[in-house]
Amino acid sequence: MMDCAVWRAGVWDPESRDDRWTAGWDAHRGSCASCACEEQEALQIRSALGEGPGEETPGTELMDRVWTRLVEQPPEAQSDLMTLEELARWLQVPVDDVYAHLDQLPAFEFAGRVRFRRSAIESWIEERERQWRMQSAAGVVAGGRRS
Amino acid sequence: MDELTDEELLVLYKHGRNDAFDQLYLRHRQGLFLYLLRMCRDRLGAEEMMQDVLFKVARSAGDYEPRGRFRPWLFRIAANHCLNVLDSGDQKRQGRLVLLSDFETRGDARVALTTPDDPAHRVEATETREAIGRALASLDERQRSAFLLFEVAGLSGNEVASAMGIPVGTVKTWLHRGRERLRRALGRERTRAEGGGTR
Repeated sequence: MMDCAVWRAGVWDPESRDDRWTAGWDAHRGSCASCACEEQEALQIRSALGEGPGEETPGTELMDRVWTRLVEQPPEAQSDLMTLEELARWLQVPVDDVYAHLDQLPAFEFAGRVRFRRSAIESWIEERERQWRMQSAAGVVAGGRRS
Repeated sequence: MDELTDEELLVLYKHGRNDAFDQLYLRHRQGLFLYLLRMCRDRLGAEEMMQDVLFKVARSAGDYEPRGRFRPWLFRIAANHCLNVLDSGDQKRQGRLVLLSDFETRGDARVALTTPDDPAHRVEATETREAIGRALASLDERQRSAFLLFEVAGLSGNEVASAMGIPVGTVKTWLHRGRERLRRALGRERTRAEGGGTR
């Protein structure tokens, strides 16, 4: 017997629906007014979040303006500041890895956002390289990930 | 091009095929526009942000990691840009951001999607849409963004966490909070409609 909380989780999040949920939801909805009501509310909320009058999606003219801008504006000079995502791309690792090692990186927070100075990260990399070389020389370096 | 995945289209664009990027635009424009519109609550502002986001995406295509999915990457760029703009107050300076008080009194053109021919349903749906809009506007910008990335953009909890650089647990908390806030707004709206009260 599944708890109502499990049924409701499935109402809101398709990813949480397993085979048992899919097979039993119709029957449960018929016998549980509270869960049926929550499904109705979810449907109403999603309908209200959808496209309404005056909110039609822009046409291809918007993309035309983007193409014009891409031609007119040459790439900007590389910024000295990087976001979490930009650092992850630069280091060629997943963003989650950067996030997990945030306490080891030279970063600063401003207005609730984390930023990295490229020059500080370069110094940090040089320090890591130095440590790596020292550990290699001492024969204590373990094999890293290949990718 | 219909049979190509988003990721294949972006690789084509990286190799000089602009029509591949046009195809990506057609596929994702609705979700992207709705996300930005619900974030900044103004059509002109949303269109301006959408241009900026697509510009950035096209410019960053060279950095795209083909192993990842395109849509979460697109919305990561969109969420970052949108939150930066809202944080910086650019929209407010330009008088573009519709204030909550304006939103409450603006009774224009919010009608039903499902039953356009029934005036009673149309009024009800309009009021529901307004109630949801007000509740959404009362959420903190980041909570609103997480909620919309999940509900409007269709990202998974993990993808929202990655897009916003926050733990999955925080996403779950914010989604729960957003749903409760919107459900309460619906409940109030229902009570008001049943009581026949006025605003």
